[in-house]
Amino acid sequence: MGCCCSSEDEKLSQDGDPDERTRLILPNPVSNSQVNHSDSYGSVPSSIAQQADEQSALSRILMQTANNVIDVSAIETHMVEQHEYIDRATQYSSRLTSICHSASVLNKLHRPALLVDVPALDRVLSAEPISASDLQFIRNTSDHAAAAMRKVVVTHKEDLVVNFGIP
Amino acid sequence: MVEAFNYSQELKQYLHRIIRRVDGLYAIIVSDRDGVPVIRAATENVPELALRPGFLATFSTGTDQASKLGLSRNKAIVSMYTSYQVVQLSKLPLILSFVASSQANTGVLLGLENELSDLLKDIKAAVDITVSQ
Repeated sequence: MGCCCSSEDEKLSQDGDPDERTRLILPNPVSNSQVNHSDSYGSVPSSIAQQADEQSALSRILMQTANNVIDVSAIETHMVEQHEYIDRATQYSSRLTSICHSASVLNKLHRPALLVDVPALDRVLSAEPISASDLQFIRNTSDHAAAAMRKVVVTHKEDLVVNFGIP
Repeated sequence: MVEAFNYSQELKQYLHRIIRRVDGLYAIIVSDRDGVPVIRAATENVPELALRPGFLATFSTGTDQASKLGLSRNKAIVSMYTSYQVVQLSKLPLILSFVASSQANTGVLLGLENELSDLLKDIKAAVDITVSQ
């Protein structure tokens, strides 16, 4: 009798997600099963197993509740020991060297960018302008370059279409 | 060995390039849950305390607790101080931390996550192997 009720209880907890309004601990079945324990000593092994199941279910509920509670003061901070810190840092650096051979990582680092960000744009824009002589020099040079470009002429010497290997 | 050294240096240089590019950014640290750094790039402006494992590991606790508030999993925590700001992102089993000036653009710092995501995947794979050993 008590076993039937307790098996139902187990089913709820083992099947995983009952309804959110389902009570986690059903008062009547538990009390019934407790009465059964005291009454019948013949079924001791099954009752012990049942008790263990209940205990594990309860501890699971307790753990879940503890995980969901926000209590910053109760949190234990795991401080890494100095030697452990060094060991792990060394291990990580050796692991990093192992991934260095994969070309993908290096390619990512060398991804070409056409546009480059300029930090502190306001400082660049508010900087001193170049001197008048420099500006004149740039203008003269660019004028000369433009004039030279204009004088480039293509002289036609041979046919544009040539037959290869045709007798 | 020389190649490995170069690679490590190269990775650091890459992080330093990002630090130079982002105005007010002082340090980028990729660490594990306990704050042990996997790779780290920092300028001289960064306060030494912000690089300690004890400081970096507080994020693990914080993000765990913040995930219980009923707003699903916590992904990042931004801490503003008088002169500094610390942006930490959950990339479990890794933590990505940025230490910057309080005047730095927080949105830009959070946006760096996308840029570093590919690299973090590779580093994560390396760390996971370490954990399983």
